Amino acid sequence: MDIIALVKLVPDSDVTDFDENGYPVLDDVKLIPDSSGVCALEFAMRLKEVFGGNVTTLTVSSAIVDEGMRICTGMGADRAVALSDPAFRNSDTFSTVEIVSRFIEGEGYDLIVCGTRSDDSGTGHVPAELSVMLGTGFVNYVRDFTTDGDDLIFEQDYGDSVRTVRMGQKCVIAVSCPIDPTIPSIGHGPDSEIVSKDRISLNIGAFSAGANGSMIKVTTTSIPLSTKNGESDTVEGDPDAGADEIFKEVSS
Amino acid sequence: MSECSSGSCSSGNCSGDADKLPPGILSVYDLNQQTGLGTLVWAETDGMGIHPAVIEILGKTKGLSEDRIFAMITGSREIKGLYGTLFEYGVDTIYHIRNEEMVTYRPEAYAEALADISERINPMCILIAGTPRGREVAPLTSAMLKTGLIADCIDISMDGGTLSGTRSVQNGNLNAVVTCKRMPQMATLRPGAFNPGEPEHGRKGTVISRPFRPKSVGEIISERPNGTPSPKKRISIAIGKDLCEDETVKIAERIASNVNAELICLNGSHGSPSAATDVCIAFDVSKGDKRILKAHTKRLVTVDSDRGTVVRTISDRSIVGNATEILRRLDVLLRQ
Repeated sequence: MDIIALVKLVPDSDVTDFDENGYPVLDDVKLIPDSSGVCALEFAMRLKEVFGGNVTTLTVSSAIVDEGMRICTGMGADRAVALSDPAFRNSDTFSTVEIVSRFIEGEGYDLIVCGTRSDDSGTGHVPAELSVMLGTGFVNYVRDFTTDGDDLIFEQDYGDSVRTVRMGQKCVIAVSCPIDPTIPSIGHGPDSEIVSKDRISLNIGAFSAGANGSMIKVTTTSIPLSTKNGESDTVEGDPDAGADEIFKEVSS
Repeated sequence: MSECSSGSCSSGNCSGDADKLPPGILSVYDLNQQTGLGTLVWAETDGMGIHPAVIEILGKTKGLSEDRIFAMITGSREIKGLYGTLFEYGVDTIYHIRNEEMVTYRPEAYAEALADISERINPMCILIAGTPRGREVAPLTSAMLKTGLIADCIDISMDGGTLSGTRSVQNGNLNAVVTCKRMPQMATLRPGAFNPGEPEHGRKGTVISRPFRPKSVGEIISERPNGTPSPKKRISIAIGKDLCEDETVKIAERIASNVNAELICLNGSHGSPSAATDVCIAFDVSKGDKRILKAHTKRLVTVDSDRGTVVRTISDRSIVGNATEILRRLDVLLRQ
């Protein structure tokens, strides 16, 4: 089974600089896989254990991401592909999916595994939009799988219900993270192949990439207002007093 | 000075150039104009009735413009009893998709149906509640319509036909106001972020039963309820990286289970509740995570082991004390 695991690389720090559109400035910032991407890659490796085949990890970025992709190959991915070009900067999910699908259409694949929501923007749009663009099935909130002959049986967790669905192998799935995802320590994987493709090699026009190819536009950004403006009510005391206060909060 | 430039004629007298266009023709052929009217809402049901997050959307939508509000609802004849609720909260026209295959929730089929209705009525906006199912249907629909989708709005406004959605981005460090470049403009709205409007008892509207046959999708083998129904007070509990060890996580899981809360373990990653909550109790989380959590809750109560990490500008209430010990005592208290 040829599996493609989509991974988003995010800054490895709490605070970054943001441009006027609210996008982080990635110059000189170390980028690492976010937790949802890690979950997707782990799930892809589980599928590979059952079906064999290859796992390709794929990311889209406007920056150089070799170090982040080495973490993915260190987790076991057979190949890492970075769709990387400064022109991809400020891509929304639609534009990102255009870039991803342009690459995937030229590749053979059986299954595309994504995280449900990325850590930073957290829209959760990419898997669904990718399935429409590729014309394949879509299974969201996947937490486990079994097999039945050639079919994959996925268990989906919608929060209020758990659903079991049968899908043909060619589909896009979005994997829900367990409550305590294991984030790999920063390190380098083996010297697996890291393929880098830019806008020109993907045959994407300048007006279809980045902000130009996006369907939404950030008009303004602002720092969220603090609601209490330094007036929060602070309680200090022994653990019993603290537990009592929280008990009142959750039971009132 | 010539009145004609850039390939268009402003006077209609440019006979010397056969390629010049008549006045105003370029704007006529701007196919991305706001020709639609009204707002289309997906009326998600939750087994008990119309989902509360849909009522919140309708409360906000009524104040956006004077245009009609359309709603798509799916299900058998049994859900006719829900028409009245939708009308009372502001819906003018209901599109009821009655196909037997649409009685059970199927994301692709529901998205197809929404896209189909959108192409028929040409709405200015499509608004969908940011529930787990709404967050699934919305991007499928936007991709089918090849239009933009503003995710997880905590506020929306309409100015001259342009929908602006405010969303929290970059781990809650910024609020961004976002617009769509194409029509229809789409947005998902965060549950709990909007107040439901007052119902107008006895209000009536139009119902249109629309035939629709979805394309074939995956087979649903089974579906079962997952735990207890949603409580009236939505609570989340977040524990910071240093507390995400086995024993403490187990205590936090017990507490979360006891109070029907969602547990978020910030083990080296950022995280936020799956939906907005009424109260979030955060134990030893970083400043950045406090800001994220505050963006997702009405009331943030923080517990900090170190007084130096208290951020009074973010927390609504802060408790200083040994976070692990407070978790243990709270666990005991709740079990009593």
